[in-house]
Amino acid sequence: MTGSGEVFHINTGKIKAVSPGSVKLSEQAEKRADEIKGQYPQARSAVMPLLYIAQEELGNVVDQRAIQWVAGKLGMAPVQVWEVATFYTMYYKEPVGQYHVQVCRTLSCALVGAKKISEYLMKRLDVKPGQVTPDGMWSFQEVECLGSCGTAPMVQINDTFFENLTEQKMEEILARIEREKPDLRYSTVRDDMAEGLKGFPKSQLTVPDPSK
Amino acid sequence: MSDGSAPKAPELVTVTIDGKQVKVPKGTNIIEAAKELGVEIPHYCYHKHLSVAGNCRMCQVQVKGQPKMTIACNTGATEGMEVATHLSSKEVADAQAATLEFILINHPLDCTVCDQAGHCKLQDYHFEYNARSSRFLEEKVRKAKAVPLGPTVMLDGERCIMCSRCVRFCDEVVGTSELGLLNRGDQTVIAVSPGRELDNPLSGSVVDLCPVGALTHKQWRFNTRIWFTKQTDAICPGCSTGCNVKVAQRDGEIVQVKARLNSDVNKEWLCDEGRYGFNRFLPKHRVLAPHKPGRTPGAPSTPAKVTEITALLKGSVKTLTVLASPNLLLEEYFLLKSLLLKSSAVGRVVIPYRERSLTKEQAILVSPDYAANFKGAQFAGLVGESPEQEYNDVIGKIRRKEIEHLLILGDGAVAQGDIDTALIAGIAAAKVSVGVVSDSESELAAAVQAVVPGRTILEKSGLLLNRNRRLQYTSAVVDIPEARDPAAITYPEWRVIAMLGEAAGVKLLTGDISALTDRELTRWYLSTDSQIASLNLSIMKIKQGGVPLPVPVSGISSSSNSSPSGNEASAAQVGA
Repeated sequence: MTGSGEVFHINTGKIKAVSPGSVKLSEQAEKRADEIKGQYPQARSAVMPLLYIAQEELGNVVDQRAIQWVAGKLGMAPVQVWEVATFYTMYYKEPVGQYHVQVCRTLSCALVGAKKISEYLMKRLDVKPGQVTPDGMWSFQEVECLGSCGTAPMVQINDTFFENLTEQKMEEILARIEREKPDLRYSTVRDDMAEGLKGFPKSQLTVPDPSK
Repeated sequence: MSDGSAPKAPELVTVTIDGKQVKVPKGTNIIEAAKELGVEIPHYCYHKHLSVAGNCRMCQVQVKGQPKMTIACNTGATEGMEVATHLSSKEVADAQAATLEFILINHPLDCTVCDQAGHCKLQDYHFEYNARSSRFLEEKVRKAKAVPLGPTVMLDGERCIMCSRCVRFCDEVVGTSELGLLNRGDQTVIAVSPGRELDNPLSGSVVDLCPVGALTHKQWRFNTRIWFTKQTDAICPGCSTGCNVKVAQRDGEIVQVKARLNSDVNKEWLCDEGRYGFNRFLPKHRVLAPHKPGRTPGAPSTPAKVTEITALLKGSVKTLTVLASPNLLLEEYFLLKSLLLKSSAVGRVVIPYRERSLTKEQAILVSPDYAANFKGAQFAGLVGESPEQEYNDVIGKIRRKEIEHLLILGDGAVAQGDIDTALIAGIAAAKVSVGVVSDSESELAAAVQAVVPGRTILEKSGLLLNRNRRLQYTSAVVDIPEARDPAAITYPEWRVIAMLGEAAGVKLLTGDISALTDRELTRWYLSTDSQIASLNLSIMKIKQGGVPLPVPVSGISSSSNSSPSGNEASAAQVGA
């Protein structure tokens, strides 16, 4: 979204309005949302986890259906939910690829070569930040700090961190994903990490111990 | 409206600001405390009647004992607090200059084509607190411009400095939450909630609140530079709320209406109906000379002298029925009442008063009536127990041709819906009928025997009493027709009443009536009306936010037209 300098407002015509209360998600999602809501003294505090639920349920996109559903669930004005959704890069206002690579470009990562990773991805996937590959497999975005500075540089693919990267490691990861098509998503609804991921990123790609 | 609510005595603390001491209630923020000392701490996002956002950082001050500068808007006064503002601290002045430089980084600096130029806080503060050129060489962020947010307001995204006042206004005051701040950092934009418009009844207020030129009135964009206008502090005559406004006039036309801050009346809000509705008080075609309309359709009117016209009524003052406008000045109602008293009249005065139902959002500010000064008429003792019924009685009688002597005083003396053929025929059938009106195209002006050109409420200065019995002074916001058309001659309604008195042998005013000004009349009124004289009011004093009138102890002189209905006993308080 912001990466392409695009502005979201009613006049771009990109937003389709959805009437409040018209959106219903799966029973499981509704139940999970109520559970999460109950964990906070103020319902509106649950806006972020609920946006995740909506994103997961609606096919990896936060559109007006998601906004109206969250607003209705939490008794907030839709525009206030929309404010939160547009503030954070992890809510996808535009469709992303099956595997969405987010490259951290904030200080720690920037210092140890995030730019190189970005450039490598642009070349390897032949897309610019914010774009999706023609086959819908990959998309790539530069984002701000993902909170893993100790293992910089790093990327997040779907909901999984890949850390201590080099261009070569990046290539290994991409190749393996293309081969195995693992599920790298975290489910807010079920509150678990996908099966296809177990042991994959960190065990094989740990930092070499400098003392050895 | 918070005209009521008796305040508890708050705990006072002494704060030192730039070496000067001031006592304020504990917790008062530093901006308000400094105001008490006449020190203006610059700010964009802070507004007295909105929540504190603290995002513009312009109001930084130094508080002794705190390691870093703090924002004045979010710092409550405590006992012994010592504050240094930009006036006494170079660090603060430098910080403010730097903050302003930052705010201006992505601002397009298109003052030459910006409607806000001349009344823009960015310009004012730049001149006052920064006044150095930008060091920013990079390209500025581009955003959407000329975006309609709704039927009344346009947004220029680039000019916006993200103070969020408009967003908070829609959230906190109106409660409709149409606006939001989308995206983040330098990409942030104001946007309307998808599928909605900024169309609440107070929507135009966001333009007043916008400290820069980001939000502008759709209908007043690019109409004039503000420095070519004549601006007048007035009271909105749209209803009995009596909102304080500043009206800009250019070449006899109203080119902009702004709310003025009055914490006891309208905060700094104004409804769209009032703001954009000023022109309804200014008829397109004016009556410009006293005359007698032709009695048959198409027949030419004959010019007449105003003394001739008042003489028509001199024999019938005692039995006169007066249809008076609810938008006359308090002075005029007082004169009318005096005329009736002094001539022992048995006729009566009726004033149209209708209430309508309001939506929740309208009710925040709007009164259910369309009557600017109906309370004033009540105060003057012109209104009986059941005004609506009395008015309907008279209208019925006119339709049945039972009224012989009729005076129509002022615009809106007959409610719009009541003007029909039966009424016009009834007026035409009266033995004597005189109209003091300003709209030459109104059917009333054609039906009466003689017409005196009146002045509209926007052309007179004087007193209005709002729904909470707050006495306010309104100034004429547009020039009288004489200013544009030397041949024109119009009469304020009070002058007609006084002349009518003279014709009937009742001296209401001393001196030369034709030389008396609105201001002199107000002064005379303030010292003459026994209900008010003891308060020792002056125009200057009333202009400072108005004066709440005490609740009357007993009824007013006349027995039948007794005191104003008692439902505002709780409303009149503070200055009592």
